[in-house]
Amino acid sequence: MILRAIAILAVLVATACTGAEPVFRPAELVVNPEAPVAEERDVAHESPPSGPLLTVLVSPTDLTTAFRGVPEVVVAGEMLEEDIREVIDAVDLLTWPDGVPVRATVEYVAPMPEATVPEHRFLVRPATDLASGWYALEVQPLSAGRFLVASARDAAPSRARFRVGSGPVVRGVSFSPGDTEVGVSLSLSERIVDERLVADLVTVEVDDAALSCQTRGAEYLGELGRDSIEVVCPRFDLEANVTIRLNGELLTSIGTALEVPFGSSRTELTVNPVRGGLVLDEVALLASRPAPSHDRPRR
Amino acid sequence: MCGGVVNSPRIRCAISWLIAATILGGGVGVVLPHRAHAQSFLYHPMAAGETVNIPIDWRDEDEWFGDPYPNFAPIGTVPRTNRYAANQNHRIRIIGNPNVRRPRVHFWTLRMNSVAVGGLADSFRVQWGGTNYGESWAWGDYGSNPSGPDVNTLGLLIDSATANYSLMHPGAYLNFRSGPAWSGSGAYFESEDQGFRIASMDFIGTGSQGTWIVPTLNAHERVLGVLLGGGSTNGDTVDFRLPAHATGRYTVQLWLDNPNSGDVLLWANCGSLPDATHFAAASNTAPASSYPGWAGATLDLPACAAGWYVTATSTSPQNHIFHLTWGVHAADHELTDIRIGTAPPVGTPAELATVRATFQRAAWLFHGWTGGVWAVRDFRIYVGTDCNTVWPNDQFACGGGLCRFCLLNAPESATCISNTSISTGEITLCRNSWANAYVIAHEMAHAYAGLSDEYDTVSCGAPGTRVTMSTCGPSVMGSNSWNANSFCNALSHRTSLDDLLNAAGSFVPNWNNDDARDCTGGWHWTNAGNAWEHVNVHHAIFDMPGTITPHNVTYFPLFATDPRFGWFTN
Repeated sequence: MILRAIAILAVLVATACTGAEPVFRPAELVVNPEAPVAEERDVAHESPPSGPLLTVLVSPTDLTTAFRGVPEVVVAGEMLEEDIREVIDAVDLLTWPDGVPVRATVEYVAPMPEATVPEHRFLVRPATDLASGWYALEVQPLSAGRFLVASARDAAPSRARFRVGSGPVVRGVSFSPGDTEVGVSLSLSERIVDERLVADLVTVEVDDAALSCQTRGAEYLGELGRDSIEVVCPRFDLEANVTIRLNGELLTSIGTALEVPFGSSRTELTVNPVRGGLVLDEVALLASRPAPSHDRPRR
Repeated sequence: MCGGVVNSPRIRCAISWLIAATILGGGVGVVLPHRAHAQSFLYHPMAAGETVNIPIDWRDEDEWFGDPYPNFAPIGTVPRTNRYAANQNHRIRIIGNPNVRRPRVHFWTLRMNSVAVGGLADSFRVQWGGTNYGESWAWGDYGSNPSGPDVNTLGLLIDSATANYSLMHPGAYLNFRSGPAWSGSGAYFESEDQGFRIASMDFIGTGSQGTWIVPTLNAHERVLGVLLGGGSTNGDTVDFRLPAHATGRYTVQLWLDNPNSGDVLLWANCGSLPDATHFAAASNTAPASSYPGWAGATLDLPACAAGWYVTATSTSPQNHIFHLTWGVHAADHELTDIRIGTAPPVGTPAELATVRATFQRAAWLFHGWTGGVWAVRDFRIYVGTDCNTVWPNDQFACGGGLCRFCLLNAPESATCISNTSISTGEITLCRNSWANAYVIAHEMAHAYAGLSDEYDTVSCGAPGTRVTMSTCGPSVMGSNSWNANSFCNALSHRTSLDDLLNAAGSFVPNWNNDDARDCTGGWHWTNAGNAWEHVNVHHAIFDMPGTITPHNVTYFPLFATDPRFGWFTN
């Protein structure tokens, strides 16, 4: 019998903070034991690598609450060393919405040798445990033609706002227009438990007039609760602004209350189905709002 | 589900749930967590040197060896999970919480010469994930006494004394390779039909937590997990991640080694780890009373481009060993409305009950054998059809459509042979066979996955020293009565014994354990083009993620049937 234990924990890169900007840059690349040796090559004068795009995913997804664990960026595909460094340099962890940098390191975790999908992971480890509250994991724009960032928009950073600790929020709204009705669905970041009829949980108003909306699907949220609220309302002008109001406190099983995130009101939001898109991506609607300082639902 | 408050809305809710369960369920609804399961999702701590020994349930055995109950008298019988057949090359991933730093596996062999000195390519190894970091392995004859005391148990231990390893990351692997099962009259007879048996496992702490990285489980990877008994609401938590896939549906199956050890829950969330208020799907282990001897949980998840994060939790004071595997399949590998015709006089209530039970189990078997690539969602029975008549009538015998199955009354014989039509894909089953889920799933593998039979055996050597062995012992396409819970693969398949012969044509065994080579340098574990690789090709064509690792074909316990697969619409 052979008993052998080998441990390799290598710090490959120690990049100091750059410039006078008081933003902490991820400074340390820790490579896990399975890290492959990146292919050495002369990159001088070399055109950008061709081949399949590297798909970039951010965990948690935007407007996640009750987050536990370590935020991470996952890149699927065959990465070169310069790709890895580019991602490390592009990742920031901030408080939200005030944007104060959080001291953290980025730990690179290479795919396991027999991974069915080569997923490179970049764990953003805070220097100390994150206190309860909101944070944002940002990925600055990466090389076009090399990376495909699923949640990126234009040249803006890809941003995932998340909350440590329970604090459910409305993640988005979608509208499903039919000939005589419009389905209205709220996506929630946590499960809400409430014994009222689903249709009684929200009020939908168009031009200051409340619509008579009915439950779509299950009439009640059930004991497990649900992370969506779906009602169907009489057909209304999709060009009009729609106000959705939360009726009373909508609580999780542990008693935390649902809110509208970062809005002027914690219980009310106004959206425009047409300008937001008729078939709305739940996150896209909220993510397409103005800059953080104006971080509130469209009106 | 909806109980707890006696008022009319609640009652309506409960009723509607029951109706749904009845329609889908074959009698057993999906068991979901309830508020009592709310917990803190903490990792159970381990003190320095603390050792938790968990026996592997003796009743759980023969997973890859073959189930002794192919005809499904299931109530009161159990699946087999810890005994391994010959001619196998398997890898099991061992996961746990980050406080578990030193795993040890106790095992023994079941029969003298099962892992014989000089046995071909026999080895048993425990190692950390990655590239052979910290491994402990064994080969040779360690004796055996399956009916006697546990005196010959060998424990293989790895630790993380010089690293921050844990069962969370990088996790451990249990690799075992069992050489061919010989038969014949030669000097090299070696029966390994009963392979290895795991006796128990130790989980040892160091007083500190290892690296916190949620492990990513590969598709079709076979996992053995440990949840330490907390005896409090904190319990224990094991986290893992499934790779991102934008289009495929995921199926996660967990079952307990000891079905009576208590509740274990599976939670899943797309894009981040779940917790009690933050999960997209959850499933509780079905109570053992539903299927005596088996308690499992299933998640049937939609596509998730951000990757599913899955957590197994327990609040039980008992320790748990759980088995887990998962697969992913594209939409065009989901079969629905599979029509079953019964030629008169087949169709009594008792017969139809048998048909329903066996086809449901066959759906699970086929799903597991193909590593989750295929999913048969539902069947429909048409009683008293002309499915056994000639073309073209047979093409319209089941409600105007083709009967994918035609069940005949005649027993299996020279005049009634269960088979799959090459031209139509129609499956004919004789009386003996439509009550046998293995046969049904075997024929599905012909009809849907395009796999061939692998009944053949090969032999070589002069009379008196001739060696004979099956083309592939564990292939379900080879036999439905033994070693029949997986497909053959490139590591265990052979079509020739040539590589066991020396230049003079005499059989020469290989004394170099573990390298799987004979004296001429030929590989014993060679030859693609077999059943598993066929499935692998299919998965590549149909948008499956990456390359399937052939070590472990997904195995689902025999009784892991629930409403998600193989339900009947009439």
